Amino acid sequence: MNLRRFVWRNALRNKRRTTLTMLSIGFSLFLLMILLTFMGMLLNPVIEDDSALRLLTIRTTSLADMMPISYLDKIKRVPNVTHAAPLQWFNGTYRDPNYQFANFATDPKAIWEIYSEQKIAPEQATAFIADRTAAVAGEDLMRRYGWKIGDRFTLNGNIFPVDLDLKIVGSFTAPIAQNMLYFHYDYFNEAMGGLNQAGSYVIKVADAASVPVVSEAIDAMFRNTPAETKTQTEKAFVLGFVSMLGNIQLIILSVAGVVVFTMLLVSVSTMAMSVRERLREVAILRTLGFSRWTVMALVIAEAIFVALAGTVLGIALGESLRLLDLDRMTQGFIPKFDPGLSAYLYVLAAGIAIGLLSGLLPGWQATNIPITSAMRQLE
Amino acid sequence: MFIPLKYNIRYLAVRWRGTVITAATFALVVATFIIVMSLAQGIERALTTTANPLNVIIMRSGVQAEGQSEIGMEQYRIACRAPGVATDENGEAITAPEILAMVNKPRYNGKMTNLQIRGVEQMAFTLRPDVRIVEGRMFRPGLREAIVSRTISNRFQGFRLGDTPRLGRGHFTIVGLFDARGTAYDSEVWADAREIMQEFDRERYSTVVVRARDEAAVQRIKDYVDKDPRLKLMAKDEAAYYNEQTKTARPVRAFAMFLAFTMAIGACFAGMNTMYANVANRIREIGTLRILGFTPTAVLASFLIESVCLALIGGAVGCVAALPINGLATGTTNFDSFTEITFYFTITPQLMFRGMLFAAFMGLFGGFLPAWSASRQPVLAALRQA
Repeated sequence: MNLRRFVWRNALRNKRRTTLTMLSIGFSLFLLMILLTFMGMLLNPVIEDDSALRLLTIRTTSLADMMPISYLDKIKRVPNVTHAAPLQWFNGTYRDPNYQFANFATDPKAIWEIYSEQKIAPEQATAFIADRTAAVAGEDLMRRYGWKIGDRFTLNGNIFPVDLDLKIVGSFTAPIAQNMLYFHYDYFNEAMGGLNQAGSYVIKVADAASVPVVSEAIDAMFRNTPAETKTQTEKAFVLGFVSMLGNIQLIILSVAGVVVFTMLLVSVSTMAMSVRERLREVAILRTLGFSRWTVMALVIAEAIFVALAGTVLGIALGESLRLLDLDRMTQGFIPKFDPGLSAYLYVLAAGIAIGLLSGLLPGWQATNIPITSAMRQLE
Repeated sequence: MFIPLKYNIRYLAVRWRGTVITAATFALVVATFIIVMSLAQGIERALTTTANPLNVIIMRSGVQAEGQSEIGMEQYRIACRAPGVATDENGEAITAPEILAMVNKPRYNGKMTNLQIRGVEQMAFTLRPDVRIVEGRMFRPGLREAIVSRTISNRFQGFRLGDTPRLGRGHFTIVGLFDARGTAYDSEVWADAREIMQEFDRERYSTVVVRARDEAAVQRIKDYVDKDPRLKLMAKDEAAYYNEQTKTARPVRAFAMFLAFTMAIGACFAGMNTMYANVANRIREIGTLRILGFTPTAVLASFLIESVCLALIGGAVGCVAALPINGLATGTTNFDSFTEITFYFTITPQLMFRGMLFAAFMGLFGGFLPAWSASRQPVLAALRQA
């Protein structure tokens, strides 16, 4: 019997206890994985290559204040700006007032140049430009509402006192948010009785080097006007939004810390129980000439084995979340469960660390009792 | 006949190492549950205590928050003629137009967030008796002065007494700090309505708030506003309005439930392990108890009680551990108005009771199988165990 089998046999000696410990670690790591994924989603919004070249101009005062539409042409004339479009968040709802999805009034042509990672069939893109009341929806949104091309519907305004009659002329794919809706800014503007203002402009620049230059040029252009602007990268904008939620990072990290610590307690106590039962065997191993360190390594290996089994369970539970329609369950708050590589690595690291630490203390105790007194134990 | 509780308590005390570790597990779960729930409760409390049952907010039909509403001057005049509006001691109708705006300002942690500005007239203070100046003085119209809640002053850069933050186009001097007794106004900056309209380029009011003479009058005002087709306005009593806003707390509540539930599953398995060990260590004792005439049910009950006791010890520790956070101020964004709402972690006795109840359930679930196996031990075999 080699040592590997020895560890295996020992781990399975009390199958119920091992299973319970594994389940306990599994559920906790499952939770840890969710927390890490959620935090990663908030703090590191997935950024496409293109987004590094995208800027967003809003008012300095707040997102709710609007800028004259005349800014658009001025922005387009700034050197190194390749495309610019109004992006007016409409905050409309359809049927279910509680289901929030992103819907924007924009330029039906420029939008695909700016968000080049969002793909639409060429004939649908043409149809979108051709019809003033046309709208295009992300594929998830199409599915949710069971829309087909040619369907008409009314988007109810919440911030704006108008309802828009729109016609679906196409659908598009996007790497992240698939539940968006675009329609014509001009149509929105007309419905609002010639508002001639927009809440934000989205801009694409020629290359990464011109990002700071362009954003400064735009803001300088409107300084000391009634509507001063703040131009920032898309990532900075999204992070600004997240920080409005309050100190989420602190809350999630503390909870994650508590979860890991709890697990550590659980597995230390299990390992301690299991080693205490076998003090005599430990003594026999040492009498046979196994060194302190070998015995210690055996205990730690067993603890890591159980913790890793729990880790696999936790990750499997996490993966099963992919099967659920989170978008519907969280009303659009969490579109889908997509842990990054780092989440897996952290969970794995937590699992190994728990195994290691939980084996250390009981292992140390077991190997530091004098052999003779260990022999006498539990008779 | 039941096995005395003392038997279980003594055992837990003798095996104190296992007891401490298992109880600590339960304690951490309960503390997490209580702390996250106290966030949700804090948000709800900040919003619901704001409501005065006789205040009616008149807004544009269909909007979700005051700040999104717009009311023209003509609509304002018609709305003020609503029947059943109370009058103050000078015989003036208690109605006040208000103007809501927001500014993006840095908190002391450097994070930018939206702050709600309320442009008010004098009558606003009659409508909201909770708002009281605690330091400095009231703003004087025409001088670009503002007052701010003490909580905001402590949480945002550049809002101390004497500071001159930029609101809209111009700068305002902070001349007073107010305390709104934990209501939603504790998250706001107040200044003169006319000045705010100028600085934020507004030609219309946001809302009109009126005080109803009595409860019956609340309904009459609502009917008057809702049924006048010229107005295109709606009237909501403050309670209903702020109740709708408490949905900001819903995700936090859901998060707390989910956290607690998942952690509890993990803790139950750990509790089961301990209880199985507790049973295994006492096989002989269980046999003895049975010989003495205690029924299997009594053994089952005894071990279940032991498990619940263990969980309750943990629960109590968890409650105490969570307590220091009670009353701490923090903030999040109210996603109806898109502005900061400041609130306090609120741990109520009910919440602690729920935490204990939660612990008891964990004990019950974690203890059932081990207790069951204890009660099923064949007596003779149990006695023969070494």
